[in-house]
Amino acid sequence: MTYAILTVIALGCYLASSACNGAVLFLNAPAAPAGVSALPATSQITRYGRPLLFLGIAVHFFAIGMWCVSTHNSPFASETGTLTVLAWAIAIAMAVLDYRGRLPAVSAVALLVACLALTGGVLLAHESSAGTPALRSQIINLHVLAIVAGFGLFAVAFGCAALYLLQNRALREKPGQGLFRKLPPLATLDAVAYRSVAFALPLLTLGLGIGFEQAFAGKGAHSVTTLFADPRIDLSLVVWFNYVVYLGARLLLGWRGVRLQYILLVGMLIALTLYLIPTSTHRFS
Amino acid sequence: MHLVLVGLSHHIAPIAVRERVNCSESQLPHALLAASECPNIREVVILSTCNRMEIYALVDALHLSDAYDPIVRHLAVHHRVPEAELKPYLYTLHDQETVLHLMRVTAGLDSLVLGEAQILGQVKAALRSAQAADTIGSTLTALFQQSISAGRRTQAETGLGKGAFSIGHAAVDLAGKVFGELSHASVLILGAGKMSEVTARHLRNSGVASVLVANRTFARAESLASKLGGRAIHYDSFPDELRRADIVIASTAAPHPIITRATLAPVLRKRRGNPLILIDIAVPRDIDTDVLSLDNVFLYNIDDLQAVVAQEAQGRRSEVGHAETILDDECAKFQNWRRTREAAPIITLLRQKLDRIREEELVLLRSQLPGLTDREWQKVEAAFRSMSTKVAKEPILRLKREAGGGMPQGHTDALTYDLLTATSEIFNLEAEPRSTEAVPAIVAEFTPDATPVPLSAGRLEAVISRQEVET
Repeated sequence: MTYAILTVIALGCYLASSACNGAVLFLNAPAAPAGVSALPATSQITRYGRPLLFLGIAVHFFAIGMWCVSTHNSPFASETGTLTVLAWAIAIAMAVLDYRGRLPAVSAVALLVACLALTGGVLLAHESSAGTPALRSQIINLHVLAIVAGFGLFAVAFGCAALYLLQNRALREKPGQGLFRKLPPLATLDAVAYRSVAFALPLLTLGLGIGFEQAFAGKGAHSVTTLFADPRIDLSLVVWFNYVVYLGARLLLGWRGVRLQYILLVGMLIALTLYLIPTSTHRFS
Repeated sequence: MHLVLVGLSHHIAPIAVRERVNCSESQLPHALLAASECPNIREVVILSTCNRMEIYALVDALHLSDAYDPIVRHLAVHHRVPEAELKPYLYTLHDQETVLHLMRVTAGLDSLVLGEAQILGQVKAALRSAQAADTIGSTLTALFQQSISAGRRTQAETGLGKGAFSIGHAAVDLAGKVFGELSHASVLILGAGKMSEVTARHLRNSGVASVLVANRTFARAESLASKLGGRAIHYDSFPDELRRADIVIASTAAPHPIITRATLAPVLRKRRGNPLILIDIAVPRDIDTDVLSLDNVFLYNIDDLQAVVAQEAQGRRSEVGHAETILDDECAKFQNWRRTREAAPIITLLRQKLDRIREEELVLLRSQLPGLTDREWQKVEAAFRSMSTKVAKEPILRLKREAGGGMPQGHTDALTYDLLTATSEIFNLEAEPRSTEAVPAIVAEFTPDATPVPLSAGRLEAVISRQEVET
């Protein structure tokens, strides 16, 4: 019960932080039409985004702790716990990004993804969390943690890519409306997305590597046929390959611009479907 | 003492009048010295820009006309413009109006382009010139410093100084939103006209890495390239340079587009998605709009840039109310400082007078009561000191309260000055020399955030004398 309350509070904090950061898209002092300046200045509202994010992270940490204490399992022993940690990873990635340089619009989008993941976790909270013996293994926990952390960073890259396309459109079509002023420069969004993927891909590779090692050599080993018959595993490899293409195109072929952003969007959409498709090898009970 | 302003500006005076009274930087010291010699003028600062010519002065005159007339005459004589020709364009302000006007000017609210920050630097330069010419004292120094502080606040706390002020600014803003830092960007200029020079200069000042200039007449390309610190290339080779350029400014006199989708598509393949900004300020246009169907190409023509400037101007207009609130606050701070400055010498003199009376009475008493022991004398002295402190306490507190701006509702500056005069007359303080320097130690107590005033010898004496009387 306490877990649920704390999780909902954390969700509220993330939503509020996202709204405060997103205010930059709707309120902007220099570009505001007459009369709008009566509203609080954008900078004042976005200022609340950071403490709310930190509060959410702290409350979320206690929620995850409560979950572990009450179930005597790691958070990765259940669907809800995994989603919760995914949301937490995104929030931490955003806090780090916020500390390095303020990009409120990116925070707003990425925190919305975190809220989606956390909502999923809350909705699935009633499901059994007995956990299979394999889920109590440290190595499996590391497998899930690496993948979840990687997906958290992919969510940041997704936020940057979405804003890149929005900014690209604003700059190409309607510069006179001033929306471009409220969004970060294209080069900044591109650089943050690239760095996020550069950190996330090794984590995903580690997570997948551990997964395959355990699947083939660990307890209850699977055959190659049964393993690749699982659409979740196949899609995980597609996600991995997608980001490899992204980094390869950027680093080896020198690609820049819109095409790279579409690769990031596709990657995140596939990653989200991972949670929705049926799986034969990843069971929580 | 009155703070007065005599001036003219772009609001009413045409350029033909403004240029006749304009003072260049080299002429300013002479003009300041000449103005300071006008009757009744104690301090003077001249603010001369291309849009205004204003003389700020502290005058010791009973009637305002006695303050204005010599300055108007000086303007006419010094600039050799008949007074009658000048007068219709002149405005005169005094005291509170002068303070508020200077603050509005410094904040860019009175500028031709609302919110522009260049005027802040010009006000600073005017202050420096007056200080160098030694025509300024503590009052105008404090006024100008408070105005500069107000200007900085409005720039920092409102959106008044943000956004594009010109087509060149708009181009820089748009380029910044694509590339972030412009320090790695390279600019290719097609056509060595004035417009492309102005736009390129804005980009150059924003720190672009390199500038290439292509023009049908190579000599003109070389001339512009040397002005911008760039390199001239032959016009025919510009398509090759499109591959390396990040920003292209096109302003040629060509009757048809010189860059089209067909010319740009092969170049973009080699650029591998690196963004390319095309700024077309030529009429007729140099760049075909079909290039917009290509990814990672950003095309802006003169209308697009003007739309950005217009949109920013609208945003800045909505910030005026916020800026006015800040200026009112800064204006009140200065007036507070000024009132306090008037009261401080009276308070000091009152304290000194009471101390002197106490000392005289003690000397008299000592001759009449020779038998008292040292211990008894100490008690008597303490009683006298306590009595003089108690007598002075209420009047001093009241003067401080009035001077510090804590006046009851409905009271005005007149009350403060009446109280000062009354105190001075009741205690016969006029008999003592009133030091105008004996101020800031007490001023600082009333207005801790007041503009700092340099510590002069007179001010130091005042601090010491105050410390003495407080003990």
